[in-house]
Amino acid sequence: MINPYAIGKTIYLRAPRKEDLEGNWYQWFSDPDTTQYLGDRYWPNTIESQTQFYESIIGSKDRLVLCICLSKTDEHIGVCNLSSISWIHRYADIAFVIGEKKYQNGAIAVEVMTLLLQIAFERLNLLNLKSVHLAVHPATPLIEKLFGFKECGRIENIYNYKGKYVDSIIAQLSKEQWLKRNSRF
Amino acid sequence: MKDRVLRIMSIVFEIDSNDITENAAPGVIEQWDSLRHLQLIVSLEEEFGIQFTDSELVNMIDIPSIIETVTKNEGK
Repeated sequence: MINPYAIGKTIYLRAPRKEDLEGNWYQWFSDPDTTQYLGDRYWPNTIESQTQFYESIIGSKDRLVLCICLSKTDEHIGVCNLSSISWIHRYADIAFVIGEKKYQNGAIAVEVMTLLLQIAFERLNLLNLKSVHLAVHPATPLIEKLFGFKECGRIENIYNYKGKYVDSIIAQLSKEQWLKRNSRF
Repeated sequence: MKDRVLRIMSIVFEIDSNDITENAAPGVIEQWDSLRHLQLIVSLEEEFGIQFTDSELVNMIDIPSIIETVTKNEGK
């Protein structure tokens, strides 16, 4: 493992490196299959725009971006982040993308979410997380349900998805709810 | 309990429960894809009225681990 920040069962999370820019990372965010449920990814991504993004996050204290890597091979398969972190109100947005399609399976998504929640609530001591997703996304509502997120808002007909306007759903998980769900005592 | 788990699996994967072997897992059952994996865990929570912890969710990767985890939680 290279510079692991959080270690799971089959994956680990680490800080992005310059070398990652030469890999598949930038291509994931051009791929129509991968980006179809992302609200603001209608423009092609390039190494140049990925480099700009990379430079914007290095040293950022309001956005934590981490690479998702396989523990066995170090292969970089996706990216996850806590963004819009408020150190006053102690909340953030949570999101992840598994870019390598052969690893877009539920078990890895569950591992990523588990690690991100530990980071958010234990290491960064955040109190609330917010997840925003398109209502037509098939997997995100299931992941949110498993991890105890509750729908707390809906913006109707806001995103153009394949020619139809669909809702955006906002879901919330508090540290208190997370601790309660993971406590057996 | 095992029969209830297999029944849920057969519904989620849309296969006969007799076709689900003792050591079935993603890759062994063709229909066990990412979305259905998540649907399976959600369906098990609803069927048994339980809520898995984060570490349990991570460890539920095949039939033996799923049955073990459900058994551990049943009645809690």
